[in-house]
Amino acid sequence: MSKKRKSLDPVKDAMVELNVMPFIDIFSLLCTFLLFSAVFVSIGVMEVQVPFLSNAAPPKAEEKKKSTRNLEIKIEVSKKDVKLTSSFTEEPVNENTQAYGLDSSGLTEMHKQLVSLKLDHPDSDSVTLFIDDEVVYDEIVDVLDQIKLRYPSDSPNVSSQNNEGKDVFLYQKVIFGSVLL
Amino acid sequence: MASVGNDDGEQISLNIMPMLDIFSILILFLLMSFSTDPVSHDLNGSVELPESDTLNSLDEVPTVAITRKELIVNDKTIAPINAGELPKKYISQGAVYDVFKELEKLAEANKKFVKKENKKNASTLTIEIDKGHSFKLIKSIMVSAQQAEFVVFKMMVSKSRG
Repeated sequence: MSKKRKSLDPVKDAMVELNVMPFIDIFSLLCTFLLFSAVFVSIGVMEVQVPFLSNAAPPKAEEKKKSTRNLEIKIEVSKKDVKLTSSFTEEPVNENTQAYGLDSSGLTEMHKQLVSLKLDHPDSDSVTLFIDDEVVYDEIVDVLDQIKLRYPSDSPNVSSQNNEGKDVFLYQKVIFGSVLL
Repeated sequence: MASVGNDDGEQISLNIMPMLDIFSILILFLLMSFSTDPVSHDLNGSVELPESDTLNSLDEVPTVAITRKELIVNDKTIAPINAGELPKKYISQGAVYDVFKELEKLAEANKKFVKKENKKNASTLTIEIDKGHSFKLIKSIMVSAQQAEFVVFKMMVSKSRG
């Protein structure tokens, strides 16, 4: 059996106190700097386009013949509801219109329909929006969110790239069709 | 533990550990909310932005601000807004002429800059809009901008942290 020896070294037995004051000084300064520079409202942007007249030459007859049958998506937003119309640019047009509520559940349903359209037609990347005069900006942004953004719950196969090449959008291009002089 | 002694030799000690804990948490919170957005912009006092899940950050200071009380272009008040509407005298053919004139000047300056610097056409306009405004008002501004050859609009929103 071994006996524990008592330390006779007075230096080892002395209480060591840590001077935390410089540490607190640095923390205080860091806190002040961060509080001054903090931005508590993060601002983002939603990009939309308006129709414009172009002076480019009209497509030639041969090019017109070559044009393929593309999907066109139109959304009409009123105070009452949101109507989603999908149709093709060439015969058979197969026009299909569905109405949804302007509340969160209605807009989620519309988003699901847009995801299924994107899955069926991955080349389509624009939506034309027609908005009634009484609809407020808050409601417009809710609709735009459901059109443009791809949520984690959506299929990974549906996406359009943003300007930085990241796959973040469902339908990147939204055109405000009712903005015309 | 920080301590202070007086003339009688009494030691008064202060437990600073809780303060350090609070400081640490505060710094952690502030560092997490520290903005890395390319542009920092102070919102107009009478503008409340709608919330959006957008991931695009603000990359230029807004040119047009539609606040609750007035319409501002390039920091210049163009017209008052009464009950969400512009007075009729400012509107002609669905557009606001004064907005068009101001934006036309800006478009001209942009064109010169694009030509000089050999850059891409800058026909994009950033707009700050209060969330309560109707599309009728927004449309009249967009039509004015459209006439001044602005066709892409970046509408400011507040990023939701959900």
